[in-house]
Amino acid sequence: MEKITLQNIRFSYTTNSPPVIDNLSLDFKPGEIVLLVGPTGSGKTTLLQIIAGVTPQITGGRISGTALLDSTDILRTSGACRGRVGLVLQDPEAQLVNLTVMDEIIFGPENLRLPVEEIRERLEWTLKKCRLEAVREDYVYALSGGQKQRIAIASGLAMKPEVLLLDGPLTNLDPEGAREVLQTIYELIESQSTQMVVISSNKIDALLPLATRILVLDHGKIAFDGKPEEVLSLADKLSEMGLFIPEVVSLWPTILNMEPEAILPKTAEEAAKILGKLNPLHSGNKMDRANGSDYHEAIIEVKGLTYDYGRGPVLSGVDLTINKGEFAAVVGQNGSGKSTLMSLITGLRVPKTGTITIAGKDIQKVSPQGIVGYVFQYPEHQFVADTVGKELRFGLEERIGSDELEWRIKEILNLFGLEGRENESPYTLSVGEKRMLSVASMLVLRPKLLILDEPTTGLDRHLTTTLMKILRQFVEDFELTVLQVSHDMEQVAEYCTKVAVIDQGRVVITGTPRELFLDADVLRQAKLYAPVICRIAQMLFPNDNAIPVTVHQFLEEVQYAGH
Amino acid sequence: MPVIEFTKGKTFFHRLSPMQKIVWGLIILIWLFVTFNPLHTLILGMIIFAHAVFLARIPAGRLAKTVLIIGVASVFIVLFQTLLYHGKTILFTLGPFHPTLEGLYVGLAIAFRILSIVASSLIIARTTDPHDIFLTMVSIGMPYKLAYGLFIALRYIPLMEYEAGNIQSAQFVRGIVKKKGGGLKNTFTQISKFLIPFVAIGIRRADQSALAMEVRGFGLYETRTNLRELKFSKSGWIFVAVWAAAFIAYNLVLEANVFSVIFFEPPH
Repeated sequence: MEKITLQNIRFSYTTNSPPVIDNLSLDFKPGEIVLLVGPTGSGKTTLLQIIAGVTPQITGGRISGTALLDSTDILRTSGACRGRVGLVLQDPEAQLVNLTVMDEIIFGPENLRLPVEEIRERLEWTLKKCRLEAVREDYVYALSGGQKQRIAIASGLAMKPEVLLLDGPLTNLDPEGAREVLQTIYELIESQSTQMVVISSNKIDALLPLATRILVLDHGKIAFDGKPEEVLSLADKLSEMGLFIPEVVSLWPTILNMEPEAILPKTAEEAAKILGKLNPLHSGNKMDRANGSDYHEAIIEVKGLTYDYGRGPVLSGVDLTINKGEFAAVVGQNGSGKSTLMSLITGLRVPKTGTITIAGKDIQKVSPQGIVGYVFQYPEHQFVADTVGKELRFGLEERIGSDELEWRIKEILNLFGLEGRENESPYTLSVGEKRMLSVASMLVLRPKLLILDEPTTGLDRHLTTTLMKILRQFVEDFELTVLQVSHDMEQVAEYCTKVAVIDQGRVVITGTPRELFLDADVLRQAKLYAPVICRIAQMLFPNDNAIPVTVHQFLEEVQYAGH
Repeated sequence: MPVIEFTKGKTFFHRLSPMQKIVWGLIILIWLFVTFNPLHTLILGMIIFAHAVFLARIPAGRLAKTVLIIGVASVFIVLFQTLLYHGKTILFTLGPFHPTLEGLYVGLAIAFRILSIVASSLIIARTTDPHDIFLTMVSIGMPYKLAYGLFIALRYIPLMEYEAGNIQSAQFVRGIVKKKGGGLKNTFTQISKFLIPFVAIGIRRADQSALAMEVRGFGLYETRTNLRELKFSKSGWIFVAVWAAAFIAYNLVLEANVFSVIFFEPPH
């Protein structure tokens, strides 16, 4: 018996716009835990909203086809899914509509007119399930990103839905926050409190161990659908579509090559166990890694920096040097002081004590405006013009001649794939394009230093790679130095030459990504995690201090005796 | 942090019900409007200030600061009234102006009136849980969908403050610095540069919030259960009654009769 049946569903926002969901037919059975993946703009969110009975009923748009929940027609019965299908939206900030955690959780049950005793019972049950007892009376806006996401899940769960839909539950979270949310999802599935779960997320690696089925969407159609093993055996094709393939899966072809009977490993431990039997040898060029530092001239020098907002110190004595031409990352938990440090370096705030020197000049005496570019976490915050073209021209017209201006604009539009979009409004661009524009509008000014606050959040693999390659190109061609705040350790391992860890207002370590990943104490203290591939390598080569940290390095450097 | 936001506590004012506080606020409002004597409004203002400090435990320094920031207009009112009010006792001559003592009195009375209203509103805002206001509105018959709409606005104030700060920072980095002068056009350009992203983000969030409420069954039925109950003692009404009695006594003793103000011309 199917729980949800979709037949020939076709959805578009207006009569003339291209379909977001294109003639889609599929069904879900009770007991399934479906991982819904697909590149940015593939229709994942729309699909979830159709199942939840809010698209097109609330959001508008044109739909055809049939959607059934058991035997109830979702599209033609008003309120068919209320209380039966729970939907947790991507942005926890927008969906928490109450002041306190408790009010948020009971909001749904209250709307359903449940008896007071029942609501009270559900409140206690949900608080316990999502481990939120300690914050039950707290204000939601004062909590961390991970906590907010858990409250959003909790408030969906309190409806005791038969079907739970989670849209991007791990987006925007630091590693610790993601771990908390993941733990909650695990417990929820274990307790079998709902019949069926669909999780839309491109973090396949994190969710792989719990998925019973993977559904891949591309351009509103099903690209692949099946058991995780089946779908992931097509890793190359998924990668071509722009998806991030779990690092553990990228080793699978190698494993199959030697052990055709092997089962798909889902965790670092499982992979290490299989590979350990194949007599692996690491033959990396260790000399290369010993002298990683080709950079000598400092562009940022931060000394003894302190800052507070009047509620205890946020930064307590930060020392940090970033050299010219480096591709550096600052990592650490939410609330560790990363953003404050960035705003101080940009000159947005004035330090309590300490000095910041950029390109040899104390920024308290000489403003860094013009030398330092800053790409904010949310692109919309920094838009100042009504068209893409004006956005790119902003601040540039006063600096250079009109010939060079036109040439530069053309070059940057091409580079970022925004050709022909000059007259569009920045606000009508897609999420990925908005991000590209926000970086483009900074790079067109040719800053000496570019600071980026979580630039790849929510971007698929294609966009992430494009963005990182462009940044690298500017580092090589225009002596740009990049300093990014990141939560994505795989990305740090892949692109960064230096990483600084901030914990409780202090820089606890500065070094290469490898040095950080090998330092178990610092990782534990700052609640960070080494990439999966790096953990596998560590298990296989415990005494090696030049282990591979990216999939590419691993595949290239690890050999297997006898094969 | 401003003192406007609701802050949890166990003060006398926290224990009053929203309705009791609203009635108290209304008594003060009427009292202030029937009183033209600046000395009387000053004394009333000081009593309210004392209520704020001792009965609502609002730190005096911060309260004074907030009241003055909000009530800064009152300085101009004093000035304008003094200069422009047609009174008898001319203090001195200043070009075409003849500042009068009566004008000064009227100005001061209005100024103290504004400051007192601000102070009493602050007490209510700081000691009343918005959720209780919502429940009160529903209990007197307002449809819950409407009442919730008003209540939700409060949830977003801190978020909007945070976002406004972010937009200003982002635009500062892009070289938008608040320039002085340049006339109305410059001011307009600068405000619109800030408002466009602010409103765009707000609209998108409002969409998301509406969706999130919808999937959790908001508005599905005409009524909803409320787990929280309004739990306030009736004894708070004694406090309100004391104020009401004081107000009536004031009117009787000083003949500044509330009815004469409402139904007759105020005495000149």
